[in-house]
Amino acid sequence: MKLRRLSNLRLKFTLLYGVALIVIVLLFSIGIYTFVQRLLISQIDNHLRRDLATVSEYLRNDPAGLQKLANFGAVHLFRIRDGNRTLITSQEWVIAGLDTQVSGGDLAPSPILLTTKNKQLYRVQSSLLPLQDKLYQIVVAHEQSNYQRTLNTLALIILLILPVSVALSLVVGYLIAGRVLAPVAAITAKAREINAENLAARLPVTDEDNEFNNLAQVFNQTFSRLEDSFERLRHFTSDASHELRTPLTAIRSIGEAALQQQRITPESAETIGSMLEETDRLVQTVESLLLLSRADSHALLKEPVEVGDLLADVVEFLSVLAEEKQQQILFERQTTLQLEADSCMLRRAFLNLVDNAVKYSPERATVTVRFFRQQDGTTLVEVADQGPGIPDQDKLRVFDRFYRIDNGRCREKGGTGLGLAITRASVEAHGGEVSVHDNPDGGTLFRVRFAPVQAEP
Amino acid sequence: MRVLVVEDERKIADALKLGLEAEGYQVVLAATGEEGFFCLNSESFDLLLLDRMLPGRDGLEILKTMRAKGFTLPVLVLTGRDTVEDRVVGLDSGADDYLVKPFAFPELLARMRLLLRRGKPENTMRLTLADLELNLSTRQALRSDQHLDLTSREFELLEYLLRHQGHVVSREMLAHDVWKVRERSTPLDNVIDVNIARLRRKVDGPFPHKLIRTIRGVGFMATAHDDETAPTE
Repeated sequence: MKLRRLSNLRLKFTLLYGVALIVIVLLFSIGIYTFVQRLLISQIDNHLRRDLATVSEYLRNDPAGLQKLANFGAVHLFRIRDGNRTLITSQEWVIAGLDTQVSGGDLAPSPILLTTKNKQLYRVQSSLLPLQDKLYQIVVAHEQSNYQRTLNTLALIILLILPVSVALSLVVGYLIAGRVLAPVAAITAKAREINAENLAARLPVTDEDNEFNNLAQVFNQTFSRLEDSFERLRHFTSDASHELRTPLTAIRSIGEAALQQQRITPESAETIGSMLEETDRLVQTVESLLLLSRADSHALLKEPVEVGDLLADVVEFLSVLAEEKQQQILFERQTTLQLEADSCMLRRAFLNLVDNAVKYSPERATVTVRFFRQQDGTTLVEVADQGPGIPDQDKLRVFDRFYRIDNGRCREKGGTGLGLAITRASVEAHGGEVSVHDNPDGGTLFRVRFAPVQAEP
Repeated sequence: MRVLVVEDERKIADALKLGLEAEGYQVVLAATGEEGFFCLNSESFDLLLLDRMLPGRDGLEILKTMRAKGFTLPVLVLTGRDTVEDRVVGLDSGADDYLVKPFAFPELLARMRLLLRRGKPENTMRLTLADLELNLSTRQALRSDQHLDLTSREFELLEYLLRHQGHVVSREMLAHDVWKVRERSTPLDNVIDVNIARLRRKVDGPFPHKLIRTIRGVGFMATAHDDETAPTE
């Protein structure tokens, strides 16, 4: 999963890189194309201005030389008109077929582009020259097709190079992204190996000062703190058990020794007895908390257990409580499930569920314990009562430690408020799940699920 | 009976001394392992109560040294830790029995009686208390020659109470020894209470002289005496 996300990141890097490169290359190409185009046109325009000046010079100083110029002169394409009469036209002008294209009046003084009948491009410029009461119109032209060809070649080159360079850059970008992200993959793989059972391992850190080393160092610091707190938690469990047991032992022993004295009055015995009862409750709460912390840390004493036997045991065990309320416990044992389990802890889980069902069902009710396997191979244990049910807003919280739906009522019935919390911790320590539902027949239904057992060897 | 108590927690030690003396034991207290070892060497005792966690030399070390030196007296180890490994290590070191704190005093007394009686034969075919009679081979219970209709669980419960007659039996003891459940829980307590109540209805209900008594905060006791306090040994 994480590896895939990482390679997605690599792809994303590459694509971003590619897009950025395409934009840059495009801008660059457009720039070059425009620049070259402008350069070429300004060259042509210079040419045209020079030709105009030359023709004007001849017209002013050497009108006779114009004919020579028209036949084979330095200015290839020109025409001079005097009003509506064409005065002189260069030979190439006629050959090029410009004569029919360029009429008299529509010529602006700035250069324009013309296409002749044989698809040749020409750039044409005209100017008016007043001379001896007459107004001469001089038109010069310059072929542009060559320049256009040059530009087209440039465009072609750009268009060819663009995809090649983008493809190349994508490949290079992908490789670079891979190189850059490689330490992330390494850190991820290593970090996955580090878990509750193996917190002592650390990420490799080199001397180099770079972002990944910093990241690894930060991770390592976190792992150290995590290891510390796990270690402290483990110690806490055994320390707490000792620290709490010692004073509780003292209270109990003192009270019980006092009760054995001959001189004690019935009133004092009553007082001490009541204190001893509360002490006993405290002892049970402490034991329950220790059991919980044992379940939380998955410190199980495993042995082969058949869940059906365990349930039968629990039902038999609690049937005496049900009989007191003229209740019936129905045990529908439809399957078997062999588990490597802590029988004490798992028995406690079911004991609490069935005990609750008996406790909250009214007299003469039926408590149903169903043990069966579903089509998909999951094994279910359902404990259904006919009690008042659990309001929806409480359903999520009934498994919380010390959570009571109705404070007064529950405490009256005894218990530490840890029963269902123990059930959940214990079931989860054995790889199962426990959930609470409304019983279709009224009341509450607790369901314990165990995933399908792997094919047995 | 002389008992040596090696326990560093002053209050527990004092309470043990008080309670055990009320039961008729002679008690000597030692606060450290060295002190306890010195007492063992200079006086003779019938039983040693040894706390596992001691300042200086650990309780188990004392135990090993003492067994190595040839002391054979029964040793009951008291411990704040309760894991299977701890149990195994404790018993391997030469302990005869093992009691987890916070223990109930009646259980401590019962275990001590058991250790002190060890090796002596016991008549186990019939148990009696006043006009109550249990035949262990036929599993019949009679009171004033009337047959009592008991379930097998109730019979075991009554048998256990009679074996400890005159002594308080705690819920822990019943859980361990009658129901064979190691860990206590509220449902279990309720089950014990219900069974006691039923047993009482059958054994004491029709008779004016009540034999099964509840000692509040401690447990239950089968006794023929009417006075409130437990008789001493």
